[in-house]
Amino acid sequence: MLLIIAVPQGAEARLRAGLAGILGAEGLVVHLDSYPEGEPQVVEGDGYFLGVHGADHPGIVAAVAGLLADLGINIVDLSTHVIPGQVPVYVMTMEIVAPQHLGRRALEARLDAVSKEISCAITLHPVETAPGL
Amino acid sequence: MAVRDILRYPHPLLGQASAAVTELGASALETLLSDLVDTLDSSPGVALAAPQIGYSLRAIIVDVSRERRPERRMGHGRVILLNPRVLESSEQQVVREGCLSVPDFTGDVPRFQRVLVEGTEPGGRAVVLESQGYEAIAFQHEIDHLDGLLFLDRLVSRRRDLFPRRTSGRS
Repeated sequence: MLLIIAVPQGAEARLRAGLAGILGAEGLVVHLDSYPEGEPQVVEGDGYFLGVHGADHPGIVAAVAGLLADLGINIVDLSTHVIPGQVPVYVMTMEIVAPQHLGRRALEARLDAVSKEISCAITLHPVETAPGL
Repeated sequence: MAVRDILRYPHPLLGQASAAVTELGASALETLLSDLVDTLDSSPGVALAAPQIGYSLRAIIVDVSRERRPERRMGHGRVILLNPRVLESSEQQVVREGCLSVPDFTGDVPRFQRVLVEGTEPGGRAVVLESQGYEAIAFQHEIDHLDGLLFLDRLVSRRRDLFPRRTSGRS
């Protein structure tokens, strides 16, 4: 369970002590961290959904994320999942924002090369946006 | 020239169905239309519906030629329609929409890729427009405003489809 809460000034220590008392008795673990202040950053560019899947092995995230970093692409959302089985399958979905000048074809070509290198399927779909309504 | 404030959710007017415009040429209508034009021109958006600026009347303005990205500018230029409605529509796609009345969020909503929209021009002429792409989405979004609907009402999953605004197609 993940909660975002607002705590009155000066009440954090009491909250921590109280949580430890309740959750400790139940054998549960609690992390309490302060949330960074400020507005979320708005990223400019072309949005895409990126999907990656294949037999699980080390280096999948590194290869994909490394290419994206090289191309100046921002990862704005990411989730991963391993489907257990005789051959565990790794599934990763991302939402990325690419610089406009890059273009979809060029991005697909580079992803294609990484796809072969890591033996995973990689799919790319543009996020259709209509911001100014 | 009157630039009106754009109402923000949860203003109650944004949740109400607007009334049909029946008295063409009335001076109140002139004021409404010039307010729509002036407010759109001073906003970062490409379309507005009358209830967004405080008039509970069925009037919209759509002008995708204001869009910064050339590929989104295709359409009929500046269109002002009274009592617009969607006559026909094609298959749907999921679109990540923003709204001037819900400025901090975007949401993934299903929209028709092509629509046939009918309405009345301010001069009284009835028109039927075929529209696709960004402009078609804009028509559907603005006509929704006339029915008291926001993109928030069309989300399939709040958890999966609603986001703090984090990407922008505009500078």
